[in-house]
Amino acid sequence: MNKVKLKFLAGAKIIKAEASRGQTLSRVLFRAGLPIKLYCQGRGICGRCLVEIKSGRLPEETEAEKKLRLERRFPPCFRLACQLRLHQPLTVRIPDDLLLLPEIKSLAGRFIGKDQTWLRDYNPLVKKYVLQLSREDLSEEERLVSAIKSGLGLKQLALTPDAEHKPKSVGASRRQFTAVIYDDRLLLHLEGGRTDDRILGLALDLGTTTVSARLLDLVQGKPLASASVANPQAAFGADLISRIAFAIERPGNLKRLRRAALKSIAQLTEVLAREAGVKTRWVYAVCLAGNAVMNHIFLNQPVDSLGRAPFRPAFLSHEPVPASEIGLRLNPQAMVFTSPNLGGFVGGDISSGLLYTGLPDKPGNYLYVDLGTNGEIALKKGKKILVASTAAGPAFEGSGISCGQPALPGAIEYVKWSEGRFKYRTIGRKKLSGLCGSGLLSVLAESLRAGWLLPSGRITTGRSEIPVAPGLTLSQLDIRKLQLALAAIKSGTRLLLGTAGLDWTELDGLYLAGVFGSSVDPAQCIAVGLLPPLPRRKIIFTGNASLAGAEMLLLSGEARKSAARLPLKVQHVSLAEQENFQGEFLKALSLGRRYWRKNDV
Amino acid sequence: MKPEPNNHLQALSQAIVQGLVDEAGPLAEKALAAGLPPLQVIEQACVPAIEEVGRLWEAGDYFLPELIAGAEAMKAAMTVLQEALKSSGQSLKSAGRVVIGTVEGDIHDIGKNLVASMLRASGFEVIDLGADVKVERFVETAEREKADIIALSALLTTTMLNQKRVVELLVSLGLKDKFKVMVGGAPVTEKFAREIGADGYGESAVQAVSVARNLLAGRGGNHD
Ligand code: B12
Ligand code: FES
Repeated sequence: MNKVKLKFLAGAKIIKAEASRGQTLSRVLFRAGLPIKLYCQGRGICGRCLVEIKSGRLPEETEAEKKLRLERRFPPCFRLACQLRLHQPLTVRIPDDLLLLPEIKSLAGRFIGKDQTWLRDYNPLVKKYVLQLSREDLSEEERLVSAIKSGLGLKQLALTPDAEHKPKSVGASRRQFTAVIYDDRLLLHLEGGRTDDRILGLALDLGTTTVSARLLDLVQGKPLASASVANPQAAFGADLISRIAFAIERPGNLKRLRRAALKSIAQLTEVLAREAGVKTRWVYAVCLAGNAVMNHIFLNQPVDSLGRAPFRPAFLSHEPVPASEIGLRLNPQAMVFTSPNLGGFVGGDISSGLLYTGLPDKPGNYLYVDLGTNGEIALKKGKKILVASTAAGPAFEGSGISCGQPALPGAIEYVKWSEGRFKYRTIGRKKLSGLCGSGLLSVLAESLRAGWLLPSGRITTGRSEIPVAPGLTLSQLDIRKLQLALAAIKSGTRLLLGTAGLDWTELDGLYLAGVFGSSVDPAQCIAVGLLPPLPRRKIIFTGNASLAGAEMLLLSGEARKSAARLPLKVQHVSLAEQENFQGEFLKALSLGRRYWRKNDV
Repeated sequence: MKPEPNNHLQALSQAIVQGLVDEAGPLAEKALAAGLPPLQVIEQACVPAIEEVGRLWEAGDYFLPELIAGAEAMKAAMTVLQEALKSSGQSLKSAGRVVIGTVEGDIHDIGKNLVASMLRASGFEVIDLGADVKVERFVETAEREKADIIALSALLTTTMLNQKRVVELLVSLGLKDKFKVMVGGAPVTEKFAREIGADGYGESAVQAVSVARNLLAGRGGNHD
């Protein structure tokens, strides 16, 4: 008999499984749909993958396990899942916080499936390992590094270039230390004693209008708190182009933009730390997902090249930078990882969003649309990814629309035409205050259905306005602005599909990111013609994919590898150079499904 | 008592208002075949039609596709009618010569194209330099072509400033009085136009026509 019968107790569930003789428990758990966090990738040095053996005969311990048990003194019924090889039937209890799945759900809602690469690879950007070091180990830098390297089984290890914080500063009398390691390759610090429970990461989405952040516990891999504030750079210009213009105008201006951004990040971090009951100096890692302009400003790179044709970023991927160098007050050794720019105005917010969906490494044809001001579109076909930005404008953020507003409580997010009037729903069921992006889209769809709006965009109510709710109307001019924004996205999408030689019917899925969240009805998106009429299951709303992507980059080595490869796979398409843009754009101005009809090119 | 010609004029007019690009040309031919003089067709069918298109635009009933289609249909009809004028030794008096383009650093040309189409449809001769046009090129072309108006389009807050540079160049070359400068594009405002010393500002392609007319009213023009 080569199979071993197993019983897993996870939460309230009992799961039965079979394993081949000699397989590790962690592997079998993964196969059984119970992936666990392997903090040290199963090298047997972190001692964090402890599971409880409820019944069965225990197999031998490995050397690594023996050593850890001696140091940490965990009871005999607790065993390391990455070390334990199966030979006898067992019943095993998996502690809730060791499971990867609940966190993934909370991160991603219902849409991220088990095929995500990072499921297989829980590997926080910065990790801490508890080590015993001898006086000799500490005597010399080189010895220290090699002792830690071999102790942790790492292929390579370098010291942080930041000389002032060399680990030698730790008093040599103590024998137990905590090594802080960045990305399994850089020794950031050696802290005295055992501090491996205090390690946090900050995921940042630095947007033009809003800065969002989430604080994560990098040991548990779980979010602790999130918050967002308005980007104070708005004082220097509402949109990206005006910020660039401001930055170029006078030498000190780039710095002023930077300081404004840093200040809001510092505020956010304070708030998050307070809420989570932690200290900001426990933050060792930051993952930044900023749009192209924000990435430049944050990393103190000149934005000039983004301000004039052909609108090129100064860099795509950027080396990790010490947070202290940036001016972020976190742990003095903290490092910042930046999600790469992809070309033109397609920046780190899009690369992180793409990584979040797993799209870059998924077989098949996928479209990713971010419905923000820049209207970025990515199309994956085979191994290649084409990206473009369509400059849709801020209409779907409610800006420039008479009764428009951002997606805040009180904004209408959805309407349905029934019995001669609109029935509406506001965010948080609060008192009605205006219409946000999804509400606007919804009104368009339902007005078309009601016959109040023609596909040309003309209002037929006879009063040049659409009454949405008491005291709330959408004017003809509003409709025109929405048509322009929709047309930009639609024509951009079609031109990208055309460039790739792909028909929309060949798409395996379409991700819609950005302002709409999950409140929007895909059927309505199709009804107004924003999206091609794909079957419902192929349309996926991601919410704030940029922030979720930044979180993923904090937690998964596979995601970071994918991020490094991404700019190489991506080709930026400048829509400005597309001959037939105007014709495509004009056609796309019409509302309704007609635009996506086959052979209507 | 001749109801026939009226029907021809009406059909052509309708075709232009409705933007039936493929029908406008043949309808113009029919009108000519029915013995109507080309000038009458232009004045009684085409001009009122394009004005109606403009009115529908201003009223919000028409949007970009309808406006473009109207201008295209007008163009199709005018090609036929101008040909007929020429062969009868006549010619249509040009409303004025306009050099148009999107300023340097900016490739947004949809609005500019619309303005050009509407100007053409309204009897202007238009020299279209395209998009991302250098400041000097506007001035050189205007000189060479003996233009009346330089029309500048800009869609970016950054490139708007190049409209100013064109005016400045004209001033420094002492050519400011020779050409009227007309500016437009989404971020451009009446106020901005005044500040940079432009002579006219138009909010839309339809307005561009009336602004251009006003600029040239009571003025001979540089062309023959
Ligand atoms: C289509 C579009 C594009 C297309 C342009 C294709 C093309 N061949 O033109 C593409 C996708 C290539 C593009 C690229 C970019 N775009 Co763009 N684009 C738009 C969009 C969606 C519509 C513009 C348009 O064509 N409108 C329709 C036309 C008919 O209107 P119009 O140009 O205003 O013209 C009318 C009037 O203004 C007037 N008029 C125009 N010119 C003139 C001239 C005279 C003399 C007169 C009298 C009147 C007049 O008459 C016209 C008809 O009535 C707008 C956003 C929006 N929703 O409006 C952004 C927008 C203009 N773009 C913007 C940006 C930032 C860009 C990019 C820099 C960024 C990017 N994401 O890649 C690049 C820059 C490229 C470059 N080198 O210039 C911003 C500008 C913001 C700012 N503060 O400056 C906007 C406002 C979107 C936004 N808020 O982000 N864009
Ligand atoms: S994963 Fe680190 S000891 Fe098992």
